[in-house]
This record gives sequence, structure tokens and C-alpha cells, in this order.
Amino acid sequence: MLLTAEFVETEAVSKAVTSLTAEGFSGDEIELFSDVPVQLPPGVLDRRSRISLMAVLGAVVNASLATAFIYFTQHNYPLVTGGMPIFTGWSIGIVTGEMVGAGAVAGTILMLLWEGGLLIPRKRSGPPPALKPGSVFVQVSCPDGRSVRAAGCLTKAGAVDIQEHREGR
Amino acid sequence: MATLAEIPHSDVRTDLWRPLSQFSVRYWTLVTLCSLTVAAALAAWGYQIYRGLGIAGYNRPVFWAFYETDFVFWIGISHAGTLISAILRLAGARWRKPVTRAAEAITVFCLMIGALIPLIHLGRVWRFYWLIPYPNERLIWPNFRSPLVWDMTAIFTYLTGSVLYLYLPLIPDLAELASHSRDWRRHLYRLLAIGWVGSDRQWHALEIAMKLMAGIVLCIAVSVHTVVSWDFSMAIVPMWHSTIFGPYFVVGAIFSGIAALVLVMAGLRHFLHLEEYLQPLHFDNLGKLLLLMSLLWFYFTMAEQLTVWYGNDPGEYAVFQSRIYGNFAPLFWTMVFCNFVLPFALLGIKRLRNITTIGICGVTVLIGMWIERFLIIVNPLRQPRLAAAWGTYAPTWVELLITGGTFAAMVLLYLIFVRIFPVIAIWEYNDAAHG
Repeated sequence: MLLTAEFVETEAVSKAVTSLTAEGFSGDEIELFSDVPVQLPPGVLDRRSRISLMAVLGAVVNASLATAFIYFTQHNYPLVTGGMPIFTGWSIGIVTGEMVGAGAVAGTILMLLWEGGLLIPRKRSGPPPALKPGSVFVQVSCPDGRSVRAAGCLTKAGAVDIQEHREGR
Repeated sequence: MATLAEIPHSDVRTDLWRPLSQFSVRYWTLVTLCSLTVAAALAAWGYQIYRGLGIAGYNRPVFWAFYETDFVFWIGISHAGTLISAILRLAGARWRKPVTRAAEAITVFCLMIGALIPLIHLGRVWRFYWLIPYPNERLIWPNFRSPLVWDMTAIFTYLTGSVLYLYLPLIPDLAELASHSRDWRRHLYRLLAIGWVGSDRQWHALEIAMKLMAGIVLCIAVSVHTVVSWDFSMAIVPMWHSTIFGPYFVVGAIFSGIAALVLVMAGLRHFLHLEEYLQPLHFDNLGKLLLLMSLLWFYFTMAEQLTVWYGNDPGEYAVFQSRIYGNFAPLFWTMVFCNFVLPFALLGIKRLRNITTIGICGVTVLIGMWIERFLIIVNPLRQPRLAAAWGTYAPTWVELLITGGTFAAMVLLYLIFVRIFPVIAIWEYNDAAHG
């Protein structure tokens, strides 16, 4: 069972999420939908993100690739330079520096796509609600028949409308 | 801080979606004029490819001239979006919200134009791939010491970062547009919205990604214009071999970027009737920023000239002399007037600072900054250290037409952009005004 409740106030959303969590619903079972970002108080439905970590990893990977490229260019290319390096230190710095930036950008974007379920949509138990300006939708997945308790929490918090869906549709 | 008008959600959407569907005669006239100019510039480029670079007015010792001026000018303006948007985003300035997308779009289009200019300058454009440091079976490797390779790497990174920086905050608006559009627009918006549903996971990821991107793109933007300045300062040409060139170029870039942003905003406000969104406050804040950059630019310019004057190196002094009271003096003093005297007078006095005067300063600063780039490049090249090698330079119609074409291309790209995408981030505006 999937419950979708509509709220018009952020405080009510916060209250609903807090009481749902107290009822034993995990963060993975609760999802909010809105046309603008919803700012909930700290500790309420905190989402962890690894985008920063991936940005650093992307930068490191690209820096390594740039270094490998420069190394193999210096050593494998049979150009007679009279002992002078093919790459100068200045070029190495610039190329590596820019590649670090490009790697950080790539890491950030790839992780955003992954965490946000963009391009590769995450498995949902039901359709996302159609967004309305000024409204916040709280969607709760109730796999083991806890829908009555969830509906109670949502109504008590101030939901203006609650709809039920069968999961997997 | 009440910096944004509290317009109802539905009105914001109506106001900002209106330009996407209404096409006036004035719009089509402008599109036609710009398209014709761009077509003429492309024809001139075709003629140059056919005849060779000799028709571009290059003559010993001046082999970098109009095209390099255009290149540095457009790459400089491109700093409008990333730097202004990223700095204001990281600083948490709420008033920035109606301004950022317009600025980010400037960045992308300027970079597209700027990145094209090295190809125009190449002459044998079909060998463009020699710019890319790739392994080659025929033992023909690009020159890794060439500034062209640095520029290629820097611009590629900056363009990629800037396109994504513009695109990311567009995604929520595209998803909303997809559900309210028809025909090809619906397909386009849906494709570009890449499955956005507005879940808290997506918003959270987007917010973190935008903050990170702001930081990364900020570093890249500064590095890019520093690399562009090194194209010159690594050479021992008089008045190029200067340690100050990195920050001097970055300051000039931000300066010209703000000027371009002010002009674009004034145009959008007037033609798209966005008076309620782009308020005098936004112009006033940008006017103050423009004044600050004008003072910084003047400080760097004076520092550069005074060092040469006091150092009295004969090679450098000859260039300095021609700049201050010689052949290039009219251009130099016009530049000082456009970039410092006029902005200082109009923006420094609070009573005189309004949308019209800020717009006037935007125009003069752009003119002044183009002249500055021209003086930096052509003046020293014309007078190398050996006086016997001094030469002359005069642009030809091909260079003038191609330069004009780049300006027309910028306007054309922007005209197309504002008819396909909302020029103000609707969700960001609503979030700031009602959040």
C-alpha cells in the first residue's frame, strides 16, 4: 500500500515525518515531493549524500589519468628532442590542473544522477504525484499493512488530502 | 531581507512562461538581422579559408590581432555567469535568484563563441584536431608547449562545467514545463528533464551538487583566464612578460562580464517586460559591483604602466610611449575614459546611479575592454624589442566582419535561448520569495 498525502505547510510536513518515524517508518519508506525544495529541521528525514566524496574521487582519478598520459608521452614517444622533455613543467601543471577540475565536475554530475535517480530511475512502489505549486506531498510505503497507522499520522499532522495506491502500479 | 517581490506562484509561472510562446515582429526582425550578420561572417570566414590567412591583415611582426582580441574578450565576458552566479550562490545572496540564469547563459554562449575563434585563427581549420594532445601513428604529435594546447584543455573544462552549471538548475523548471507543454516542446523538455519528479532525494542531491559545482566552476573560471593571460606573459614580448597578467586578466574578465550581464538584464527587463522580477535593486547591486571592478581594473592598469615607466627598459618604454602619447594614445585614453572615468562618475555618485546610467556604463565598459584587449595584443607586437623589426597593422574587412559576426552570434544565441527556456529560475524565485 502506498499513501500520498498533500500538505500546504512545511511545519505540518515536518510534524508528519516526525510522527511517521516515531511509528517505525524508516527514511527509505518516506518520500516528499514538491515544486520547490522543502527545508525540514535538522534530524527530520536527513538524507546522506556521497556527492562530495565522488567529486574528490573524480578529481583524483582524472589527475592520475593526466599524470599517466604525460608519463607515457614522455617515455614512449620516439621524438628526438635533444634531451628536452616533450612536455614542459608549465604544460604539465596546466593540463593536470584543468583535468582535476574536469574530474571533479564529472564525479559530481555522475553521483547527482545516481542519487537523484535521474537517467536511471530508482524503483518506485507507485507513481510520483503530480506537483502543485505551494503543496508538498508526503508518500509513505506501507508494505505490511500499517497503512491505518500511517494515515492516522498524516491526518493528525494536517494533511489536506490522502490518497491510497496499490504498490507496484 | 525583502529583496524579491512576493508574486503568487501561478503569476510567476505565467510571467516567466509568457516569453516562451509569444513572438513579436520586433523579435523576428532582430533574429533576421543577427542571422544575416552571422551568415555574412561565416561567408567571410569561408573566403578566408579559401584565400588563406593573408587576407586577415596579418603582417610581420603582427600575427596576433583582431581574432586574439575577440578570443580574450569573449572568454573574459564568459566570467559573468560562473563568477557572479557562483560567488553569489556561495555567499547565499537571495537577491541573485532572478539574475543567475541570465548570467550563466552568457557564460555558455560567450565560451562557445570564444572557443570558435582559435579555429578561425588557425587558417587550416580542417587540422583543428592537432590542438588535441592525441597519440598519432604517423609520428605527428601536437606541440605540447603551445599555448593552444593549454587553451584547449582549459576551455574544454570550463565549457563543460559551465554548460552543466547552467543545466542543473534548469532541470526542475524543464520538468514543470514538460507537464504543461505540447508538441515538440513537450518532447524536448521531457528529454532534458531526465526523469525529475521533485522528490526530496532529488532536491537534496541537486542542492549539494549546485554548491559543489559553484566551488569547482569558480576555481576553473579563475584558472581559465589566468591560462589565457599566460598565453601572453610567457613570451618575452615587451609589456607581455609580466607577473601581474594573471590577476589583471581575471579582474578585467569579471569587469567585462558584469557589464555584459547588466546589458542583458536591461534588455530582458525591457523586451520581456520583467520589471517586477529584475528590479532597480538588482541593477543597483550590480552597478556597485561594476564600480568596484572599475576601481580594481584602474589600479591594475596603472600598476602595469607605472612599473614600465619607472623601469625605463628601452623595449618596454617604446611600447609605453606609443600607448600614452603615440599612435595608440587615442585608443588608450578612450579605454581609460570608458572603463574608469565614466563609470566612476556615473556609478560613484548615488544620485546618478540608475538603470539607464548603469546600462550606459555597461556599453562603455564593453567597448573599453575590447580596446584594452586590442592594446595588450597589437601594441607590443607592432613594436618588438628590435626597432628595425617594427611594423604596422590595419584590420581588413574580413576581420571586421567576423568580429561583427561574433557579436551578432551572441545576440542570436540569446534570442533563441529566451524563447526556449525560462530566463529566470522559476523554482529558485518561488523558493526565495516564498520560502
